[in-house]
Amino acid sequence: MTWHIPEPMALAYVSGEVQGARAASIEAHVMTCATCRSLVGREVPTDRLDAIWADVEELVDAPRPSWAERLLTRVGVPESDARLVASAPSLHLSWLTAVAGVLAFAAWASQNGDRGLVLFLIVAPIVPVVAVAGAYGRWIDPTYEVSVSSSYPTMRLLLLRAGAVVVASGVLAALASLLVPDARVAAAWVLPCLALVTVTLALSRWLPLLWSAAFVATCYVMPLLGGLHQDADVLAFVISRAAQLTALVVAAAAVTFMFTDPQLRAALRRSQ
Amino acid sequence: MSPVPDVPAGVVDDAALLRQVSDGNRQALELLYRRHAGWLLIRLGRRCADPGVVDEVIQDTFVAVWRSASKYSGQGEVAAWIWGIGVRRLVDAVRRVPATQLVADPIEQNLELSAEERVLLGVQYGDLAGALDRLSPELRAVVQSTVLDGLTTAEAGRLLGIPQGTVKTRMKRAREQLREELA
Amino acid sequence: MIAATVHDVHRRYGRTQALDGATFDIGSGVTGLLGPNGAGKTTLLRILATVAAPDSGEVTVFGRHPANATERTEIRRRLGYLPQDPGFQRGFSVFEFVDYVAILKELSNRRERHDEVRRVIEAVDLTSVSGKRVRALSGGMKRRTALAASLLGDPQFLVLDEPTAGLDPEQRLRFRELVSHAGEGRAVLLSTHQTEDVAALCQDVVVLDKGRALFHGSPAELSALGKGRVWFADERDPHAELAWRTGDGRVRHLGTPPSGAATVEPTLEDGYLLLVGRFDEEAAA
Repeated sequence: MTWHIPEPMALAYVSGEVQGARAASIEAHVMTCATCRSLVGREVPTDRLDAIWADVEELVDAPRPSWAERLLTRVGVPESDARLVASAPSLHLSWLTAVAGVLAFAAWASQNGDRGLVLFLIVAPIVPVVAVAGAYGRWIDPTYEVSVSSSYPTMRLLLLRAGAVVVASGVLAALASLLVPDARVAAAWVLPCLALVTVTLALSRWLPLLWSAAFVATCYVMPLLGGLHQDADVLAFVISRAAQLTALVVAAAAVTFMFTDPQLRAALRRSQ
Repeated sequence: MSPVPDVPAGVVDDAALLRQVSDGNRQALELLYRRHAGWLLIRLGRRCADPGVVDEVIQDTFVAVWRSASKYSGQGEVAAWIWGIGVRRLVDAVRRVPATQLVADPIEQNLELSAEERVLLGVQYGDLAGALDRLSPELRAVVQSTVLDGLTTAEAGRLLGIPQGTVKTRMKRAREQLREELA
Repeated sequence: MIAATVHDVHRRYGRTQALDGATFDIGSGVTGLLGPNGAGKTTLLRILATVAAPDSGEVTVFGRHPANATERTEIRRRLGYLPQDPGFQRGFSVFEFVDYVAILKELSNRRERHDEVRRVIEAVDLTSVSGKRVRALSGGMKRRTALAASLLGDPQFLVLDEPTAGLDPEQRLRFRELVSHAGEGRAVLLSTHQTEDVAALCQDVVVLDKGRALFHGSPAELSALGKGRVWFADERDPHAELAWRTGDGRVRHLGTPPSGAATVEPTLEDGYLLLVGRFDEEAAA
């Protein structure tokens, strides 16, 4: 179409002087003609358009929070911390599915006599330790080097992620424990788990997280497996009050020890 | 922020830009925005007097363009597709925040038409134009909303703040009046 | 302005002595760290980026010591680092990745942070793909993404580890342009085993080999090491230190020329090869 809106008419339209069918005509024409679209559009002040665009840009760019992030922000974690935590590899669906699978297997195994119950008590406390190892570190985090060279305290990143991961895998373990036929056994994984996780974190002060987790897991699993092999009453041992109390004391000691680290205190005190 | 240069429409057509947008190209979205946000803002501003609401609707529209760019069928003008999104967002916004709507004023009947205007009206609507202008403001508003803006009677009701039934009645009366005039 | 100093730094990994008494300074502008594979470049860069610590020796960045925890954090606030093999989280888009690093750089105000993310993404010309998954992009674009992240917060010292490795010539050219821009107003240290990068970009060159700095000076001075020591002949001369057949069929020699041989103007590569004394088998052409 070679006809275009004359400029005075366009201005009259923009200022609201044109009404009725004439306005409708102009509007219908604008829909089909790019030149007249810019003729009309030019009359809008650029800073108004820029301001709206800045908002559009932000809404379009802003990353959509994952389920983990939304959960964390609802609990009161600041948005930026939540993003860092939620990107822990062991919070990915694939990890959680694997964890759930292993725990489901352990829960099923627990229904087959005493050996099954022991297996559950071996697996359930270890799973969160493995998950913690998968939360941070050179082997698992593709951006490890960049995160070390940045000013965000690595201790804080480690602890926040470990915390989230322990809660997530802990919840799964608790759900699995509902399937365990013996009530005492069903509750007996918690304190050993707490002990193992806290010792892993305490040791990470000197050892890389992966080594620390592997060491702790081995120290827990090997003696129990050895006991099973020798037909000792491992089950009675683990659920005994003495063992459970020891686990609690170990956990408390590990936490106290962690708090002697000034870097840790600084990292937790940090407010965003 | 540097302004996006005014690219003549022939260089990359709107449909191609929209395809790029559906491919996740943010720069293409900005270019579309620079081409269309202006006229859309003006047209919506003639239906809603609250500039804050209009700004928000423009924002929602282009975010919706970003998210649903792949739904453009390729048929018809991109401008019309964007208008469809925009006007529906306006309907939603008006429902959320009751805003003053513009209702057309009675037209002066013996306005001198310039040569351009005669051509314009002749090309687009012929005799219909005069007949439309002789409708009362209430009837003209429903005709504009449903026929020209492309809204359903329910949406038109929401925009104009009248029940859907009233929209239908007024449409019927408008059609009768126009038929009488043009017969 | 001295950005960083390295003094008699030693670092061993298992049986390999990666750094063996490296000593030099880095000033403002673009400094190239040139050396064959295994020279210790990555180790040195990691130490300067405060990712690793030396076994012995002294390192300072902006006059501060990375060994001290508080000073280390201060260094990190002014530092940008592009590792040799940048990694990206699965499923992250370009914007999400750079935003993630921005959080690590403690840009906590969301709106300001996003504006900064947009700024650096535009600086590396990746706006059109900012919504795409990083892992789905080409190698050159991935590097540019990591470079954008290193530019966040406008750091005073940029440490780039082999930023042009594995890029095709066009991508390499583009990258050099970006680095050149980035070098304006700040100190950049980039490592490479390609002399063309150095010739194109650097005001200052350090040649590293077997964990030691063999040379520190301008590119012109490095080239000048080859003065009177480069000549052509039709056949390979066994007395030359290094020789290779060039595209036109003749053999380029480095070393002590036989009397009467017409020497040619040395290139940066000639000076470098004479210094290092050997070809780098693993280096790409």
